[in-house]
Formats: sequence, structure tokens, C-alpha cells
Amino acid sequence: MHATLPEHGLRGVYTLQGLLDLLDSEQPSQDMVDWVAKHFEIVTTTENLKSDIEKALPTEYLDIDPDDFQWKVAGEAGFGIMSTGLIFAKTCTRSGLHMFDYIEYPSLIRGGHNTYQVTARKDRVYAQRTHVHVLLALNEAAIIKHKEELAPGAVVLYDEENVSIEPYEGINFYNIPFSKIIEAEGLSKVMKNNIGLGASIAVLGMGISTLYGLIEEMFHRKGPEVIQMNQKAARAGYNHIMQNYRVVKHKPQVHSKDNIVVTGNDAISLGAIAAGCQIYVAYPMTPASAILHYLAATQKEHGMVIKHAEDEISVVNMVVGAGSVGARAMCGTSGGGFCLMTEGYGLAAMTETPCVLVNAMRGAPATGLPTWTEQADLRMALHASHGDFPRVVFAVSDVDDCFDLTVEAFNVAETLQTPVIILTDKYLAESKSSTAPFPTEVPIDRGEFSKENIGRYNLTPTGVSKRVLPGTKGVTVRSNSDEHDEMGHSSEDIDNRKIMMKKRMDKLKQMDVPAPYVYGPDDAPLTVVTWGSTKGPMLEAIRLLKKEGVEIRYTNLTHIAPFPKDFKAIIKDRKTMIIEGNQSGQMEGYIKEMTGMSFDHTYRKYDGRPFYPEELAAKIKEALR
Amino acid sequence: MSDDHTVQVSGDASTHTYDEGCAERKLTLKDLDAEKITWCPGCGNFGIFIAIKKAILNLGIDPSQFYFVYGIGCHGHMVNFLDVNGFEGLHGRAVPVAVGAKLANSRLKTIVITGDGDCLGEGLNHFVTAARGNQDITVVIHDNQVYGLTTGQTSPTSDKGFKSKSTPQGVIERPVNPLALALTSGATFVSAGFAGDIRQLQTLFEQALTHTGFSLLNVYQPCHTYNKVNTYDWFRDRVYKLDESTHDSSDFHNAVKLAYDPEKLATGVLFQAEHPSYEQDAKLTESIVGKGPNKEALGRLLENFK
Repeated sequence: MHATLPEHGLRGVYTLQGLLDLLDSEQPSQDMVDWVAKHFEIVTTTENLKSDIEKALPTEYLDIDPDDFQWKVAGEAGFGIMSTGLIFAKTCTRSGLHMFDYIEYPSLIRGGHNTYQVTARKDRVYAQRTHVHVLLALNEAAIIKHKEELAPGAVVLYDEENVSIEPYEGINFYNIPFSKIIEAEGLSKVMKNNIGLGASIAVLGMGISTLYGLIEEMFHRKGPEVIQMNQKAARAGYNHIMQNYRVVKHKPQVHSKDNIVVTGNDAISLGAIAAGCQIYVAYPMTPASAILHYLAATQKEHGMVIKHAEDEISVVNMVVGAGSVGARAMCGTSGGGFCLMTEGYGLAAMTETPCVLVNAMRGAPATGLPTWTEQADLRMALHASHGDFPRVVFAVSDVDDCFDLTVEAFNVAETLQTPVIILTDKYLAESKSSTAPFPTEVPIDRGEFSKENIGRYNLTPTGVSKRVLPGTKGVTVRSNSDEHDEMGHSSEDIDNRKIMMKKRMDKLKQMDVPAPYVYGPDDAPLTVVTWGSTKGPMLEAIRLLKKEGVEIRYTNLTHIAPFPKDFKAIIKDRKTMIIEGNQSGQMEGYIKEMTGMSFDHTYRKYDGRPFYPEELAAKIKEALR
Repeated sequence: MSDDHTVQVSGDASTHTYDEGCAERKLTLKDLDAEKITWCPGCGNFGIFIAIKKAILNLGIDPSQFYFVYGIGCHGHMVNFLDVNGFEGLHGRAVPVAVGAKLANSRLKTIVITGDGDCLGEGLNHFVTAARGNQDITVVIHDNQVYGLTTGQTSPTSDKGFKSKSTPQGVIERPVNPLALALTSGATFVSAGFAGDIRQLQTLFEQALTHTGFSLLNVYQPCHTYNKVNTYDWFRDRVYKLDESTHDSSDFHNAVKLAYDPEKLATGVLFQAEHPSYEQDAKLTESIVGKGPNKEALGRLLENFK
């Protein structure tokens, strides 16, 4: 759809600096003159092109690395901060940078403080960082709340009319008179953020035309006039900065559409589509709701049945119902909703019904911290529902994992005929990362089917029955939540109970649990263990430590249950440290239960905020002391 | 995954055949029996069970095309007695299992076998919501006004003052009215029968099954063992058949009035309306079970994330 939109660049060039570079090898031409007139409002001739561009370009530059920076927009909820952040994030990726974004917002619709920060770098970014290089402050609170985060030499984009704060040394306060620009350019007030975006792009030396393209895509349903006005707003912000302030030195720009920008929730949704999920049922609950929203919004494309049920009890039972007649079925929720699902989760296990349950963790218990992150549902996921039954629990670590493990979850669920839990969390679920596009072709294994009247729970050496589906002629398919025999009849017989319990538990032996990957040199003195989404901040922390000459070994768990058999062996005889996002050390206790091993150092966080690389690096250095 | 598993592409599940009208198999009532029945002698469940089997045979639909979803209660033991596809779920949760199954394979005639406690106590929210959605399922409530399987406690349909193990001084709450509840929730087929009248029950069950949308068959049923008040005689004094020649089943307000009759219990089709079912509105007319992933759509969707 977007491929048909006009390109705004000129022969691969998107900035004035880029055009200047081009002029080293090419003669000035009329299309260059037209292009600078259209996009940069520079009226010139072929003769004067080079000198006019040089005049327009600044002579002094900011000390911010355009290939490694962090940008943040902050303001009141309802200001359109999320879409502004997304446009900026995509401008970064299309300018050839990788990005990771992190959003913070309270559990209300208007009036609270929202932030959207984008960490951009030439190579892959795994987590947000502590220091902000450019802060687009939409109100005074944005400066007050975030001034501690500003890196030395950072830029604050703000409107001095609305802010009583006096600029201070070490920080570049760039005034943008938003209301004056809006009035002078005949813009609408809602376009304020685009002025800020244009200004941000200018400061960071990215191509304004890349931003134009994104504005066009964002507003293409609203018609050419709206697009032009928003582009005009962006240009006004851009020009205001270029004419008045120092910016980073422009670099030759690439225009790239190679990477996708997705949240963990997007990636799980796309994984479900790729895996051929046929029905998704949910009840809204932050931070899992976006899966429901995305799959429902794109239903006409992928054709999945989407059902918003009356509560999570209904959700899980509908999924079991759909799974019991042979559909690939999934549901998603957060901890509170998962609590309601637990009985139905056990029903899926007892009736040997394949299904996938996503639990996006947030601060808990009860309503807890609805829009903040935590990793405290691990023990619940491992022990949910009454009784003994095979447990399969995955914890996704990044957006690629979200896609891959969702596909794997469906395959495991169907080949073992048992429910599979995917644990994610607010941090990963709602943070965007740039990554290579996911494959459209994935391995799909639906297990073995039969059309014989052999009973739903026919015994086999592996414990996995051949699946018979209701609707098969001449066959009676009977699923039963009571203990049952091969034909699905209720049975309280002693021997049958033992046989059936063993059958269900034996199925796990069919699963190959991969050993977790170990980062870092073998002879490093410390092995750090994390699980799930902590991988991102840890990989960044390792980068920071390396710069200081500190090496560690590191491994992250994604396959939680069944537990990787060789885990203890990969830890080796080193000092150990475990880092996790909960108060009681749920993973630490679980690893001890599984392996007998204790950790020398622990770091736990449960304040709703994600781990920061700088924070982890400091804690690891403490442990090494 | 282990190599033992045969890798099959998603098409396999779609190859199952769906034959309607399989009368050539010349099935008898006995063919629909599975295990030996364990209900108490004189239980109203017998009448309902026989009526259901007769209806299956009379409709001429191959038994493989039915999907019975059972709740937990004495009624739920039918999963072991009826040799037709079934799923016995959790207490109170039969309705959502049936809704999910029907969404996934709308070719299956999906029936919920439930009780007053199962459906109107623990599962009330699901009952109301499924009726509101006009989900294309048939709900048969074995309404004996007492908890049987848990040995005699008060149920949501027990009359005020009913003495039971959980309410020895008499129940304080007033009863749920399943017919009125279904009507006001948007059910498009609301009927009542009596376990002592198998012939009428069979007809009502057949009508409910052929109705498109949410259909309720509430069956007045004695519990010989734990309900000494609402006996066969008690019901016989109160039930009467609606006169099909004079009763206007399209009259919603009259149906509500009948549902609230303090003296008598009307049996028959109280109300029926034609509305598109949830599945029709959602354009679900086939089984989605064998549908593979839409790779082209995924490719297009991925482009939007660039």
C-alpha cells in the first residue's frame, strides 16, 4: 500500500548535507534547485546552489552522536504523544538506524504524564538507556520530571512562553514558539507535535523528507490537504531550528525500508497469524489488550475469528471449546485475567486440548500497577490450576522471540495436546524494536490425526494420542474433565487413573528443550542469569561493561517449563548472579528447586520500572568486587 | 520437536467429511447408548435422555455432526451414557465451551446439557451473554430446583423458603426465572418442557435444534432423592401445554407474562424470533479447523510495520 506513495528524496539524498556531498560528483541541475525550493524553502539557481546550501547549513555543530542517541517526548496524556513517538521511531529506522522505544503512561486516559523515548543507534538496540540527548518537552512538567535524565550537552525543545524554568548551563535550551508558528503558518493547534518532530529531526540531522513520507502514510486516509498541513508544520519546526540553533553535523543519509518496527504484542500477533491460529479470544486487560486490538483491526486480512468474550473464564473455556474441535486457538490477558483462567487452563490439560495462553505481566497483585512492568507471575504460571499435569511455560525475551515462540507454542500445544503458556510483560509487550521482517513461512506441526473410532485418549508409547475430531463420520469423540478412560468415559478405576496420569505426564518427554545460549567468554569470573525480557537491558549492560574492560558470562531463560536439563552444566563453576523483576526471587527459587544450585548475588526490582543497562552494569560491578 | 512426530501441514484437519442426513445407517435408540446409566430410579434425566435420542434419530442427521457439551451435575453424567460426540467441561462453564466449538466449526450442531445450578448459578454470566449474542447453540437446562450431585443444597431456581442442607431454615433469595432471563437477554428461541412428557420434549428439542440462534429448552424435572417438594405430582398439577393454534410465539411481552405466571407452568415454545445468529453476522458458515495460515496477508501486514 505504501509502496505507491511518492518518494521525497532526490536520487537517494534526503538532507541538504547529502545534496552537498552529491555535488562533489555531480553538476548542479534544475531538479536539485526545485527540490531544495520545495523541501527547504531555499530559492536559488543552479549557479548559486552550492553556496546557498552552504549558507543554509550551520557552521558549528552540537556534540551529540547522530548514530547513537536517545530522544524523548513527554507531556500530558491525550497530547498525541504515542503517535508522535511512533513517527519519530520510524523516521529513525528509515534513516538507517536501529531503535528501541519505551513508553510510560498512567492508567488513565487524560491528564496524566506520558512519555515516549526512542533509543537509536547504528547497530541493533536492545533496551532504553538512562541518558536523554534530545527532550521534546510539551509542557513544564516534562522538563521538571526529566531534567535529571539529560546528558551533558543535551537539547531541550520547549516553548519558553509556557515554561517558567530558566535555562541553565550545560544544557541547550532551544525555544520553539509553538503558538506563534501555528499562527504565522496558518496551522491547527493539533499540529504542534509535528512542529516538534520537524525540530527534532533538524537537531539530529535526519532527512526532513523521510519525515514527510511518514506523515503522508500516517494521514493518507485524511486526504492531501491534511497531509500538506502536517508536512508544513514539520517543515516550520525544522526550519526554525536550522535558522536559529546549532544542530549535529549531517551525515550522508540512507533511506531504508528494510526493517520493521514492532512491539512484543505486535510480534505475538504476527506469530499467531504465521502459525495459522484460527481463533483468538480475549477480554481487554492492559498490557495484553493490544494483541486483541491488532488482530481485530486486521481480521479482514488474516481471517482469524476474533471474539471479545464476557470475562476471562469464558475466554479460556471458549478457547478450549474451539481447540477441542480441532482449531488452533489462543487467548491473551494479564495476571488478573489469568487468575480467572486457571481452572479452564487445567481443563485444557485434563481434556488434552491444545491451546496457547498469553500472560502479559504487570505490577501485581490485584489491580496492582496496571501500566507498569513486573516479572512476578512466574510461580503462578508454573503452578496455576489444581492438580498435577504437564506444564509448558515459555518466557519471551525480545520481539523476535515473541514471534518465534508463539509459533513454537502452537506446535508444542498441538503435538503434545496440552496448553502452553507464554509469559511476557508490559515492558516487552508495549516497547517497540526495529528488527528484520519476520518470515511469512514457518514450520507448522499439527500432530497426528486419526479417523478411526479409537477414542479421544487412545494410548500410545509416547502418551500422545492420535487426535480424532468431532465431525468425523462413524466416530464418537468424547473429551472429559473427569478422569477418563481411552474412550473418554468417566472412570474412577485405580489402574486407569495411574495409566492416564502417566500418559499425560509422559508427553513432556517428547519435548526437546534447548539449552539456553551463553554469552561472553568462558573464563569470565561471573555468570549472570536472567529470564524473559531482562535480556534486552542485560545485553546493553554487557556492552557498557565491555567498554570498561569488564567481561562476564551471561545466559537468559526462555524455556522455563520443562526446565532445560543441562542448565547447571552451562553455569559452570563460576560465581553466579541472578537478576529478576520481582520481590521474592521467583526464578531464583525455581532454579534451586530444579538444580539445587544457589546464587552468590541477586538483584531484584519490583518498582514497576524496567531495568536500565547502566543500573545493571553498576550492580554487576558491585558483585565482581 | 522430537522426530517421532509426523509433520503435517495444516490441511489435514479439513479433510473430515460432513454428511448430513445419514439415515441409511438405520440407527436405533440402542445405537446411541454408551455406558450403563447410573441416575437414581425415577430421575427426570431419563425422560430428557430418551427424548434427546429420539430427536437425534428423527432429525436424520448423522450422530457425528452433533457436539454435546456437558456441565457438572447429575445431568453431566450423560456424557457417559450417550454415544455421541461430547465434551464434559467444568461446573458452570459448558456454555462458553460450546460457543467456542461452534465458532470453530459451525457445521456442528452444538448442544449444552446443563442444570439449574450449573447454568444459572456458577454460569449465569455466560448464559446471559450467549443469549445476548444469539450464539447458535441449544441450551437444555435440567431444572430440578436443587443440587443433586452435591447431595441436596439449594439451587438458583429453588423457591423462596425451600429447605435444604445449605438452607435448613429455608432459602431467603427469590429464584432465578430462566425463561424470563433468556427472554430479556435476547434469546431468540425460548421453550419449556416437562421431564414427564417425553413426546413433547422430543418435539421441543427438535425445534430448538433447527432454530438458528440461541435456543433454550428449560425442562421442569423432579429430583426424587433431594427435592421432596417439586415432585412429579407437584409438576403435573402445574404444567400445561400452550395451545399452538392460539399461542402467538412472536409476542415477546406475552411470553414474559407466561414466564412469570405464579400459578401455572406453560410448556411449549413461549417465544421465537428470527434474527441473524452471531455466526451468521460473523460470516462463519464453515469449519475453520483446517484453514492454514494466510501467508500473503502476513506479508502485506508486515509491510505496514516498516
